[in-house]
Amino acid sequence: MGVNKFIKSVLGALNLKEFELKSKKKSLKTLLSKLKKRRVKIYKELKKEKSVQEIEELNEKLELISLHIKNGKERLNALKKPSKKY
Amino acid sequence: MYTRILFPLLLLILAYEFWSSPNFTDISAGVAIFLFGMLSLEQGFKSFTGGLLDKILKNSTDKLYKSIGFGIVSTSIMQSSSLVSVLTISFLGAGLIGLTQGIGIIFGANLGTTTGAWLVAAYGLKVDIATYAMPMLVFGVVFIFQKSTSLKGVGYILTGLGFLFLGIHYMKEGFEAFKSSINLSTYSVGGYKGLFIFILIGVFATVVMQSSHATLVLIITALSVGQISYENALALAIGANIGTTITAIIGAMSSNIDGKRLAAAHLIFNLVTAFIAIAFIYQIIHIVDYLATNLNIAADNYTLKLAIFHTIFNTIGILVMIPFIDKLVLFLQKALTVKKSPDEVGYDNAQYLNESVLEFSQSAIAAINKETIHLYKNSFNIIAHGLNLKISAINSKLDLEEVIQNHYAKNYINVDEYYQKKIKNIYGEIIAFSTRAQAIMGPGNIEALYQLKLASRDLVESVKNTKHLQKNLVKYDQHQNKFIEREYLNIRMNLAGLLRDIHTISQTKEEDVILLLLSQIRLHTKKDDITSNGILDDLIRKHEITNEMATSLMNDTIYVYNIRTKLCNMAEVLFVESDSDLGKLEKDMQISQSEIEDILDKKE
Repeated sequence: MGVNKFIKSVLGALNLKEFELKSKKKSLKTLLSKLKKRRVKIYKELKKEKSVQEIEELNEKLELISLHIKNGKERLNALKKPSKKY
Repeated sequence: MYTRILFPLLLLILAYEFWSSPNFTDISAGVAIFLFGMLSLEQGFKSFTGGLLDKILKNSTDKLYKSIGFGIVSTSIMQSSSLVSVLTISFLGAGLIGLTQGIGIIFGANLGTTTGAWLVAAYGLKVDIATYAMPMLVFGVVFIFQKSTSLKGVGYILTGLGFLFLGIHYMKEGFEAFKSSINLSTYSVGGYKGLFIFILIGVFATVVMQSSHATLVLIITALSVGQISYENALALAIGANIGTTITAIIGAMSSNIDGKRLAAAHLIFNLVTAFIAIAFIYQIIHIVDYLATNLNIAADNYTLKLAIFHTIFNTIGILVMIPFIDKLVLFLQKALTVKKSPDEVGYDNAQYLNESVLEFSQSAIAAINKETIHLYKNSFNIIAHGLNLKISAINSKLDLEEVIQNHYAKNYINVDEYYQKKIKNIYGEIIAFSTRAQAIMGPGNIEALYQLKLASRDLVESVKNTKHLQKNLVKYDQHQNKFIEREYLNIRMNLAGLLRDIHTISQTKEEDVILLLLSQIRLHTKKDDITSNGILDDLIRKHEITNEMATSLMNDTIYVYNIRTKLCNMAEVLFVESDSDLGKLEKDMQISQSEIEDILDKKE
């Protein structure tokens, strides 16, 4: 058995590839929860009295966060289906 | 003097002794094999320093007691205080640990090394360890020929242990045979005179062999066959403790100032410990006898008693020195400083790149990372001052319009002069050092190294773009044409915002904030580009600016675009930790150009 084949079989036997995938999923979930908390904070900020410029800046942040959350969720779903590559 | 006179003289003496005494040949061969074993063992442990050892060192030295504990444990496992000293100097050189932590590790290593005396005295002389040596050597060599770095490392460790055992065996045989012809114990000297003579012999032997471990094994084997007296063996052990500092001193020669301070601390600690041992030698001998009786060690078992003595006087040394560590650090920081020649004044050089960090791949990467952060700080200052902005204002909560009113100086600084003084040398050193470091790195580290080189280049190019941009910032500052003046004020304001965001990214640990700011920078790079957002066309169409002004604006827009993208890329490499959640997801979380355009289209 070649060295590469041996390493692959050990990785397979120890489920290390699965471990890497799980670690990525966990990171994505943690980041998504942080982003959601940040979005709530911005919503609360928007309810306070602000200048037009401040409101514009907060809305821009909100838009970017929502985009990250949407993309993050899509990537998480893709990770749950290992056959699909994203 | 050493290479010209002493070294040939040493070779001649050795040759004469080999010719006149075959037993001496056995003892010398034993020492040589033992030292070779230590080299092999160090080589083996170095193979593993890229991961486990480095991580343990980083996480277990944040408190003094932890660093002392680390020194004890690591030296006990690796049986080499030299390797631990060199590793500590390397990490100190890379800025991964502070001087206090470094001193703690060295203190611990001094105690950890005493376990060697215990092992040799308790097992090495009673069991025929040479029988274990041969299989270890055979398996070790088989592993060394494997391609895998880890297997090679195991091979070197096994071979190292094999040679250590074989060396001890030869020393023991040599001294036993020696006994029948000459009895060295007749040369023993009593009292304080003998103490000082044998301390000096111990120092000399350790300096020559560069291993207190080898000296101690030599002392124990000679003591076990009665070739030296117990009192003289104690003096030799004290001498070996002083002589062992030579390894740290040699290692520190190629290190930065903190490495030199650590070597000085090691020397001071071992001299103080030796002084205590000499001053209270008879009291310590009483304690050793008392402990030996309680541990059921025979009164004439001097080898184990020597091991107890070695442990006791090093423990006393640590207990005495612990309360003075902070004072020792202050003293060393005052006594050992970097002196710059008049030509070097005003010029900044690399702070973390030195030979000692090249010993281990992980410390080399850490040092380059720290140096790139050093380059970032200098670049940040030059870019801010080059735009005539105050750093305190950028980093404050002031409105950006107020920030640009806070001028750093009456006139704009000469960016090129500052580039020559604060950037060029450091950048050159990073590139040269990275090329050398690459030779000792695995594929994972090489990729990280490549990213750091790109980050350095991004910083340098940002400074150069600021230099080009500055010409027109000066030209159109308070210009009679209010339209062009406003555009250049906007450029300054947008870049002040960028610097503020980059500073926040460099300071925060909140990953969602970092991700959001990086995306915002990307969005604004596109949004504030006046060639694509229609502002420039408007100015030309309405004849509000001249053709010359329009060309200047177009060129400067490219410089602004470059500064923004390069600083954003740099921040992503330098401030997103690779083992953080954001770092693991890498580019997965970046927003794409089409997404940016969608957001901008919606706004329009």
